[in-house]
Amino acid sequence: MNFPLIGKLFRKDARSVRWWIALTWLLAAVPINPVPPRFGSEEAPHDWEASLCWLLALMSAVRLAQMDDPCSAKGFMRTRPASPWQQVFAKCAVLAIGFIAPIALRHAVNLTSFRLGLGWDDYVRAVGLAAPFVAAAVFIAFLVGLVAPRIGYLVAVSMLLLFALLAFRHDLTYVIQAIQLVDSTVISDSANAMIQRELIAGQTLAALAAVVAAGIYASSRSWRQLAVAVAGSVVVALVAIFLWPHPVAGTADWDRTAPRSEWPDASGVVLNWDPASPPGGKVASKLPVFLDSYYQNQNLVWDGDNGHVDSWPWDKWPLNMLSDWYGQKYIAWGGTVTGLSPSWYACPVAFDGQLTLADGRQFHSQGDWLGHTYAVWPWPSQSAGELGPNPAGVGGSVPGLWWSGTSEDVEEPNFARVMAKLYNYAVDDIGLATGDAKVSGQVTLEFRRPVLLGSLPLKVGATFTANRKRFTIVQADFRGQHLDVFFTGLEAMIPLRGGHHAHSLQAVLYNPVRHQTLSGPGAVDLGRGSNGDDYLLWNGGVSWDKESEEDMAGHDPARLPGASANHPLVDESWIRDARICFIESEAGGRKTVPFDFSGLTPETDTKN
Amino acid sequence: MNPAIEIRGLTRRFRKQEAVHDLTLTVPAGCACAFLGRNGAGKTTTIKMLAGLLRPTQGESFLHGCDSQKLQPVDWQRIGYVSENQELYGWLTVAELIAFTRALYPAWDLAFEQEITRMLELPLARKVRVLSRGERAKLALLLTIAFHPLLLILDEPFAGLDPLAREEFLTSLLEITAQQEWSLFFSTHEIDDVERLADQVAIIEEGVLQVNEPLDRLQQRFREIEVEGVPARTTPPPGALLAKQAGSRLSYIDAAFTDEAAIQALFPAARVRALPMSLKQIFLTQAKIFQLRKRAS
Repeated sequence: MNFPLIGKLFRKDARSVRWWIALTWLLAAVPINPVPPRFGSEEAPHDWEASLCWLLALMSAVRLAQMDDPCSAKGFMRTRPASPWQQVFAKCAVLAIGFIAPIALRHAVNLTSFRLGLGWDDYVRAVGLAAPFVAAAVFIAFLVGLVAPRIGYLVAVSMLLLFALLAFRHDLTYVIQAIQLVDSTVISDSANAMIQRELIAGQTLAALAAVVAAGIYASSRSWRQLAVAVAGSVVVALVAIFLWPHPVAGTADWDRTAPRSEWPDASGVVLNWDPASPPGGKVASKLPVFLDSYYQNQNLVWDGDNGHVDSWPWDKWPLNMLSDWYGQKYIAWGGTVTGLSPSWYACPVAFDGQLTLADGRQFHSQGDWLGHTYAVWPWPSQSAGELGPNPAGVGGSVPGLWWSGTSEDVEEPNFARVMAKLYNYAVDDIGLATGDAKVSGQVTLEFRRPVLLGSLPLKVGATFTANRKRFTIVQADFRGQHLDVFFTGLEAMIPLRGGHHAHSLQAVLYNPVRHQTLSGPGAVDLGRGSNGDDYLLWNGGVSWDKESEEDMAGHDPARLPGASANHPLVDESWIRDARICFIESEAGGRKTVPFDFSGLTPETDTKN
Repeated sequence: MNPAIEIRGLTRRFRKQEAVHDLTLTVPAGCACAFLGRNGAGKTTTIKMLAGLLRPTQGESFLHGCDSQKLQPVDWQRIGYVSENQELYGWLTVAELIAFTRALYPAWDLAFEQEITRMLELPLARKVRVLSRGERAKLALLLTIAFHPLLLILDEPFAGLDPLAREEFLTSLLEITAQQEWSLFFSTHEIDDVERLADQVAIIEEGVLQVNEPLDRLQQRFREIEVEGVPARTTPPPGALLAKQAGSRLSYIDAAFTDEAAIQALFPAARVRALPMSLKQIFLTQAKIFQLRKRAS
C-alpha cells in the first residue's frame, strides 16, 4: 500500500468536495434540540441538520465516483499509475473523515444531550452501530454516482434525497433502541444479540456495497456489466436495509394455550418484529416478551384473596388485544422501558378507557400501572383530578365506582385483573349483573406510552435536563429503608396535577450493576417537599415487603423482570450504584374492543 | 527488443457496426507513427483499445510487450496517453495538478518539467478550468511527458487548436522529441504537421488499414506522373491511379513508383515528369481511390 500516493489522492479528492465537507462539519456542530427522542414512538427526532449532513455525504459520494469514472475513457486516472484500489481507498477516506465522522460525532452529541446517563461504551456502541449504515448508504451513493451519467443526474439526486432522510431515520432509531435495550436489565443479553445482529447486517451491507463498487471500479469496462452490477447491488442493499426486520413491535409466537411449564424461557422468546407479518413469519429478534408472559402468567395463576375472581376467562376476554394489538404495538416499547423499571410492581403501560355495558350505561375506567390509581366512574365524567383529591371508596363523592391505590391493588398491576376488578365492582356496587347476567359491551382503551426522560446518579450535584429545564440533586440520604432525595428546579419541569396520583412523571430506581429496579408505590415516588420549595423523590421502603415476597413465591424469579434468584436487599451499596430514571407517559393510541362477561359468576365483592 | 506497439487482428464491433476490422500494425521502438484517417475511420477506437480503455471484439494488442487489456499501474509509468477530451481536474491550479501528477511517477523529471513548463508558457497559478483549449492541450502534454515515457500515445492532440497554438504545440513537441528517444503514436487530421513529426504513417479507412509504412518510403512510392505529347485516348499503364487526359497531356498517380526511366520507356515519344507528392496529396489520393473502389463494389 503506497500511503504517500494515497495521501496525494486523498488531498486531491478532498479538495474537490472541500466546501461540502466544511458545510457538513458546520451542520454537525449546530446545537441540537436537547429534548430526548420519543422512546416508544415511531417518530424520529427532527434533526434536519443531520439529514442535510447525510445528503451532503451522499452527494459527495456521487461526485467522487463520477470524478474518476472507471468506465469513462476520459478519466484522468484511467491512464495513470495508480491502482483502482488506491483510488477507492482514498475516496473512502475522504468520505469517512469528511462526512461519516461528523455524522457519527453528531450521534454522540445527540446522545449526550439527551442525558440518558450513558457510559463511554454506549457512545462507542452508538457510533459503531451507526457507522456501518452510514458507510453502506455512502457506498450505495457511490454506485449511483457511477451509473448516474447514464440514468440522469436528477434521478440520482432524487434517490439520494429520499435515501438520506430514510437512512438517517433508520440508523438513529437503531442507535437509540440499541442503547436503551442495553441499558435495560433483564433483556440485556437479547439486546446485545440484537445489536450484534444489526451490526453484522450493517457491516455486511457496507462490505457488500464496497466490494461491488471496488469490483466495478477495478474491472468493469462495459456499461452493460456495470448496469447489471449496480442494479443488483442497489437492489440487494435496499432490500437489506428496508426489509430488514425493524424492532418496532412484536408478538410472541408460541402456543399460548400450552401449559405454562411448556412456555419458552422469557429471555429466549422469539419474536416476530414485523407487525405486518403474521405470527410465525420471519424470525427477526430475540427481545423477550416477559411483559406479555407475565400477564398471562398472572391471569392463569391468579387465585384471588377471597374467591373474588379465580381467573380471567381467556375465552371471554378479547385476548387478541394483548397479543395482537397491545402486544405488537407496544410490547417492544413496554419491554424496552420496563427494562428500566422491570419491578414486580411496575408495568409501564396505563389505560384510560370507557366501558360500555349492554344496557347502555357507560363507565370510565382509568388505570395507571406505574402509579396506583384504578378508577371507574360514570361516563362522561371529569378527570380524576377534577373529582377531588381523594375520591377513595366505592362511589366516592360522585356516583359511580372508584377504587384508589391500596397496596393490594397496586401490587398486582395486571391488566386483566384490573378489568376483573372493574367487572366485579360493576356487578357488586351497581348491580349491573349477577349470576348468569348477560353483560357485554366494549371498552375503549387509551394506552399511554412511557418516555424515558433520562437518568442520573444518586449523588448530590447531579443534574438532569428535560423539557429544556434543569434540576439538581441537593440532598440524597439513605437511612435504613428510606431514601430521601431532594431536588431544586423540579417544579419547572413537572406540572404536578391534583396530587401525585395524576401527574404523568414516574421515577424508578435502577441499579445497573445488579440489574435490579425498584419502582411503584412503596418503593419510589415523587411528591412535594414539605418546605414548599424543594421537591423530593421519596422512597418509603426500598426493600421487598413480605406480601410481595409471598406473591412471588411459586414463580421462577429468573423469568420475572427485575427479579433475581435472591430478592434484592437494598442497602447502601445498592443505592450507591443506583440511578434515578424518570419516565413520562404520553398518549399511545386507542383501541376499542368488545367484551362479553356472559357465564361469569362473580362472588360477593371483597374489595378493600 | 519488443516493438513499441504490436497490433494483431484487432476488431471492434458496436452492435452491427464494425468500427475496426482485423487491424494489424507494428510500430518499432523509437519510431513516431502517425495514424491517419477520416472522421469515423476508427482511429480513436483503435487508440482506446491500444490504451486498454476499450475491449476489442477480437484480436489483441501489446504496448512494449504488455497486453493492452492487462496494463498494470506500473506499466503506465512507461506509457503516456493524451486524448483530445481528457478530463483534467478543474478545481486545481496548474501548479497543483502538476504537483499531484508528479507524485504518481517515481521517474518524474523535475528539471525537465520546469523546462517544459517554461517552454509551453503555462500559467501555473491559474485554475485548470479557466485554461484555454490550447493551454489545456499543452498542460496535458506536459503531464504526459515529464516522466519520460517510452511510448507516447496522442489522440488528436492538435484538435481544436488555432493555427498559432498548433504551431507552438507542434514546435514544442518536436523540440521535446528531439531531446528524447521515445516511441510516438498519434492520430491527427492535420496532415501537414505529420511530415514534420512522423517516421511512419498508417492510414485507416472505415476500420480497415490501408497503408502502413515508413513515411519516406511512402513518399518515395507515390508519384504524380505527367506525360506530355501522347496521342488522344492513350491507355494509362497498368496500376495507374486517377488517370485523366486533357488533349495530349496524360496525368495519373503511380503508387508503385520505382524510377522515371521505367515510365519513360512506356512513353518513348512523350516527355515524362514524375512529381513528388506531399503526404496530404497521398492521403487524399488514397481516400479517393477507396471511395471509387467502394462505389464500384
